[in-house]
Amino acid sequence: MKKILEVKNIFKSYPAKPTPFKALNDISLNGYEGEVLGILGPNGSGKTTIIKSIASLLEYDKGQVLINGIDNLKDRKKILPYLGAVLDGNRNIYWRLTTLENIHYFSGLRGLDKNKTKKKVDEILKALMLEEIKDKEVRLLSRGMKQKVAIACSLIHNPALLLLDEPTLGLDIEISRGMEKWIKKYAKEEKKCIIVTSHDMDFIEEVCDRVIIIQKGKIIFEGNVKDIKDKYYNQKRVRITLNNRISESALNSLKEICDLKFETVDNKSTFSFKMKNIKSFHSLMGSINSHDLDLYNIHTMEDDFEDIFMDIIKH
Amino acid sequence: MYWVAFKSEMVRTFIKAKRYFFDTLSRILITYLVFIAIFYGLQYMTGPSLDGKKLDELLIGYIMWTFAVSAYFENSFDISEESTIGTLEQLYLAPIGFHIIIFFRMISGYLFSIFYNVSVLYLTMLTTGHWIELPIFHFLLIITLAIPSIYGIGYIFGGLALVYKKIENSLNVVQFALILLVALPAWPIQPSSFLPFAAGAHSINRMVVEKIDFPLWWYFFIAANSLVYFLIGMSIFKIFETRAKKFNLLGQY
Repeated sequence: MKKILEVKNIFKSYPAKPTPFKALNDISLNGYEGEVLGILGPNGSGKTTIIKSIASLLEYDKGQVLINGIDNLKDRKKILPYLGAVLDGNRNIYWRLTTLENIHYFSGLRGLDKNKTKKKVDEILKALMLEEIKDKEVRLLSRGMKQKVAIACSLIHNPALLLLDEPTLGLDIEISRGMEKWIKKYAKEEKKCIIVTSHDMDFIEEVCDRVIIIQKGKIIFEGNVKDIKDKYYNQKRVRITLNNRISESALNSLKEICDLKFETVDNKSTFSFKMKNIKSFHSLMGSINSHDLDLYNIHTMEDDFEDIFMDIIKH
Repeated sequence: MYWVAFKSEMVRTFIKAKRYFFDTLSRILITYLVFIAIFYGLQYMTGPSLDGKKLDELLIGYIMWTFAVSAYFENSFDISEESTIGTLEQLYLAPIGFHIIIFFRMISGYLFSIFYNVSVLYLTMLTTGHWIELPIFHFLLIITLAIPSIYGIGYIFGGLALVYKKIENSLNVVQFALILLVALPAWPIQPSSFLPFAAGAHSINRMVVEKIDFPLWWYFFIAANSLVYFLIGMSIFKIFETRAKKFNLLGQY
């Protein structure tokens, strides 16, 4: 696969007291054609800073970003034809203009004449299912539709690299799932590299070929979704429900054995924990017996992607 | 590429004027009412001995001021607004460069200003029956040569808007400074001729009121003055732009 994006050891910090705030700390990553790369991380971890650094909307302090082999800060003008980005979702377009007027305006700024892009515009409208609202003022559209119009505007020049910052933020499930399908299809069929940031774990799991997890400006995990699952799915989550309310002393002794989440609903206490090995499970059961707790139900389940993500950033 | 981008900007300006119809109408109406107020206000103050020259001077002064204000204010206000509505970063992704987009916006704004102001001026003359002899070719030539100096100021305030976002208060102060620039005597050449826009504004005034024919070098002087302020403004804008990119301020509002 052809490498479209190469981020090499970029650093970015902002002045702060007592020490500068490190927004990006030695970030390196690659993006290939036909691939969807997901960037995950908690709020303030540096996801958007990476995206903006790639889009050359932000000057990083050290390192290099190459798009199709071209340095994005030294030859900014040359990389822009290869780049499309939606950074602020539905706010990236003019709400008083119609869908088509927005597309024509942004394509015009890229030197693409309205008459020469007609076919491409029709294709994009069809692919994103925007045909019916092409003559509607954007302000009258739903958030999801606005988001799609913003994506349409960023695609008109057929960029090799598409950056989508939180593309499903605030969208309902139906539109979000539609977006998933489109992103996957577009990357594969058009051989584009798409980089997405998101908080929506289902979305990331469904769409991304590879995932990078960052925290405090540093990459803490890189691999495909399967790699993450293989590495972290060996831990089952066990949920035990009691017929009655657990006493404070019994709870404390269980907490000494493992890290557990606890809640009481309708006088039934439930606690769940990660079973690291069978020994810890036996110890816990032993403690339940010794406190004469009345067992109602034991349920084992696999972690979902969100739990795994939370685990990685916690540890 | 540049021509297509310019056309797109013209179309956007036109659509905006159409969609924000009330704002467009208010702008035309206010300009018209001010013209009328100047005419009847002066007549009321001076009585039947109304000095035609004084009136022409005031009307031309006002029209020059509106040109200057729209040239710099729209630019700075636009940047501030683009930050707020979230389109600024998208404009920065256009290969022609944001400063060129801003330049095209200023030109399209200028062309629309000519349309508004000249039509309102003629409408006022029609309503009041007081006709100003306006040598339209020379009027447009001088104003076209002089207006880039105001674009220079527009770039400076545009740069400030990129970094500081809300700058409406300082924009208002500059509006008053522009009254001074329009009112200052600048012909024949004197220290005030070197200020931005002053030479152009005063030349138009003298041309209309006193029917002065200016030598060719004076036109070159106005153009050179304009170019210097334009380049200074753009350079300062670039400094602010670098700062905005360094501190991640483009997308903030």
